[in-house]
Amino acid sequence: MKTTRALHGSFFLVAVVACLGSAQRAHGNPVDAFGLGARAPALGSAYAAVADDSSAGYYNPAGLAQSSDLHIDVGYQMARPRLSVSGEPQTLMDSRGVSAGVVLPGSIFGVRFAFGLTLLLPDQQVTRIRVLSFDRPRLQLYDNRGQRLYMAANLAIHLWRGLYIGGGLTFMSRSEGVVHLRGRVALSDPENSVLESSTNVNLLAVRYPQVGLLFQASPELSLAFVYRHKFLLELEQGFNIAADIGEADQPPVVPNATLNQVARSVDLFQPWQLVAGVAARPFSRLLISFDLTFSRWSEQPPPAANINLELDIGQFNEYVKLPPSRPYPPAGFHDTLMPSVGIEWRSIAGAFGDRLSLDLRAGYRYEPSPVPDQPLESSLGDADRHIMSLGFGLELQHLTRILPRPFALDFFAALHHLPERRFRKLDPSSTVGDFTVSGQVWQVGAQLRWRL
Amino acid sequence: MIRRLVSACALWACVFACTPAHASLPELFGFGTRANALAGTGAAYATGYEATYANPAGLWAGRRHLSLGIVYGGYNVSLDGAPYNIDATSGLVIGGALPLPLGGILRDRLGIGIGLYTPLGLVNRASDPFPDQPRAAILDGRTQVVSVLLGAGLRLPAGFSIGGGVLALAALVGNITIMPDGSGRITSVSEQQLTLDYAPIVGARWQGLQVDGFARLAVGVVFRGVSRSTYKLAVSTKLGDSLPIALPTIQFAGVAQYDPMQVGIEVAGRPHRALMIVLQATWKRWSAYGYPVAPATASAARLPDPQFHDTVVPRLAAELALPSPGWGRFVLRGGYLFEWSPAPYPPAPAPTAESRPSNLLDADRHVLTAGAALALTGRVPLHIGLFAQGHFLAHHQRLGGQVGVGGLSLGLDL
Repeated sequence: MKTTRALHGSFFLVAVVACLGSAQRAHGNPVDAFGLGARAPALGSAYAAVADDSSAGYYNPAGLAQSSDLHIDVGYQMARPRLSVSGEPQTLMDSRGVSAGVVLPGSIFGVRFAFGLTLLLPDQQVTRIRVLSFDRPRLQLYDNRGQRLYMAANLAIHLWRGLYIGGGLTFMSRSEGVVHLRGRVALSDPENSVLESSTNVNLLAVRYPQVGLLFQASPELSLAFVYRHKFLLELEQGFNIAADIGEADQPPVVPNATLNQVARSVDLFQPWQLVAGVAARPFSRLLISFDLTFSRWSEQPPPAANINLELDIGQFNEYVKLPPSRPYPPAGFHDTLMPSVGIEWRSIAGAFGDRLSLDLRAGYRYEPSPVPDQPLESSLGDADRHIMSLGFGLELQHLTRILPRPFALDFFAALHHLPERRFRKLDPSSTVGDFTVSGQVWQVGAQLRWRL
Repeated sequence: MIRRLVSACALWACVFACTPAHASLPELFGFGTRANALAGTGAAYATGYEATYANPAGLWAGRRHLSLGIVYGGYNVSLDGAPYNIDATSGLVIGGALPLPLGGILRDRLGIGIGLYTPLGLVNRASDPFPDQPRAAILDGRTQVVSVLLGAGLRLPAGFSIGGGVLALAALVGNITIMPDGSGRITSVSEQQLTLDYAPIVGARWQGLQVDGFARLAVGVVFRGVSRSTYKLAVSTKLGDSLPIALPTIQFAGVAQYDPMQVGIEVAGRPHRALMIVLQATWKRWSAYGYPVAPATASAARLPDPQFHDTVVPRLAAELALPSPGWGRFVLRGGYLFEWSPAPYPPAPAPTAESRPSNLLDADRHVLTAGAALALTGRVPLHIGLFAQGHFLAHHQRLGGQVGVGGLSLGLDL
């Protein structure tokens, strides 16, 4: 007998999606969540109209061409979530890693351009995938989002006077392929099973673009617009299994049990984002920046898959008790609008014979949660975030003959405060029940920015 | 039962696909149009991004440079008299070199570089047939993986320079438990981590015998650590009475890509300013190579030992600068190398019910290389390079054929 089942949102999906090249149902990336470098997070990530270092590869690629200097940036950043669900502390890993980047400026036929590479490399693992049971409240925006490599390459051009344009690609991957298992599954002692495998799986390159525009209207005023494209993985996995069921050295109880299965799913979603930014210098020592980021979270597809399954296990078919197919509910996320503001004050300028300058920084960002209430089956926990940051930067130059060009040392610390949010269940018999989410995320970082 | 197997396979396949960057294209064909045209040499002379693989000691020299190139390779290989399909090599080579403009004692002494090879549309491939199916172990699929190389070089006094770099490779570890959840669905609780392993590349170089303003002799030594991309994942099922048959814990473990540890020594001589002749020998420790897949279950049959042996690869190359006009410089290149196969010879017979010898096959290769370059010296400092390689498989009882590889690069001094 052959049984065909279409399973929607089964654990296969969870497995498939969870494993595909950094693919988890977490959204975005650690840079979206925690920023990049040390100067930008200190300014509340209000950096679209400010960025001229390698972090411009994320904040605004157009900014790469602002300077004719070579930039090399190396830093380290860490975020430590301290979140609770219904008062129970959650075991969430730190998001920490090395940030690095380079800006290579050049000129051809008198047109200035710059090529930039931007990287955030987690130091614990390149990616981490943690999948929990669906019947538990999950902080998926914090569980895996911070554990992911971010890599982008951009090119920027100085178009005309104060006008710059830049764009590039951020790299991800998806997989497709077929896996085969064959052999014998032992009935009495499964550990005596003899199985061998064959696989042909490709990790395919996926690239999504970002573009930016920067207009320096005057030395005191800059305007910026940035678009980051959405990122969506469409996955297709096929599995082919042919195995006997029985004991060793005996005729199989079920010869040639087979299964052919194809899973098609759409997942690993990052919303498209539109950023408008402005930076003003009302005084020569004061910089004020403001960004407004729109994130199209409502396009978040439901975390579900279509799985076609054909199986034949002979006389055991009638004993198969596969759970009924039930789709997961739509995600129902909503769009968000995130304001952020930063301020930088040059408190010391050119001290010690023009060798030392000191910038003091502060920032604030409000990030409303895209996660809706969870009255039914799903239990995706999240809360709005208020992010407050402080930092400073030391700019040093003419220190030694070896380092004739200036370099900057930036430091920052930030607190993400998540006020308590209560999720109520409609069904009083829900195994999850009402739950709350609250907590903080502590974040620190440092970076060396070197101009050559 | 099958369902649980499927879930295990799904997880495995996905995780398997997470294995990232590897260095196999450089190991197989070389890295960069100049090195590729010169038989994969470079330890004694390479500068710029090509030095990230050839010998990082050369990264201190040269100009600030950015390069973009393409590589294409076609395979005409037969196995046991029948055509053996290998996907074409097709990818981009991107490189950058950055001599650091420091002052004082570090003036013109330190440089860094990055090299990247990315197959078109592909990041990595894990392809392993069942053990009884023969395969061209060295040629098949080894260029279908991203290669990322980073390095730095430092010029020392008396003509010496040293350098180092890394290949960042991944290892996957994790575990998965499949079980029913409270909502009645079957679900999985899992944790997998992709961690980094670093394969070092270190090198040293000496240039001397200055005559008429150029070095007549250069000697380079490079060491490349073993580079491999591994995975290890345990899948267990705890479904109770949902299915009539219990499943074993299934281990998915192995090596998705592998390049052996190797040491190369190279001598480059310039009998004339316009001519460079290069000799190189590279020892490759293939004897450490094991069968790339571990048994899926504890009771599965032991997988065969590939019985690879260490090899030495000799290379010979020459580069000739042609008389050139003031606006540019022309160069011609050519070379030969003998890639001694690490696979045992004569190859193992086809497997039978009683024996399962290794089916990882390979043959010696004679490789002829050629190339040319044009460097513009005017207002647009553009560099154009191209290369071609012909790989001819030596006589082998089961494997035969040819491989053709070519590439083009455009570089710009910044």
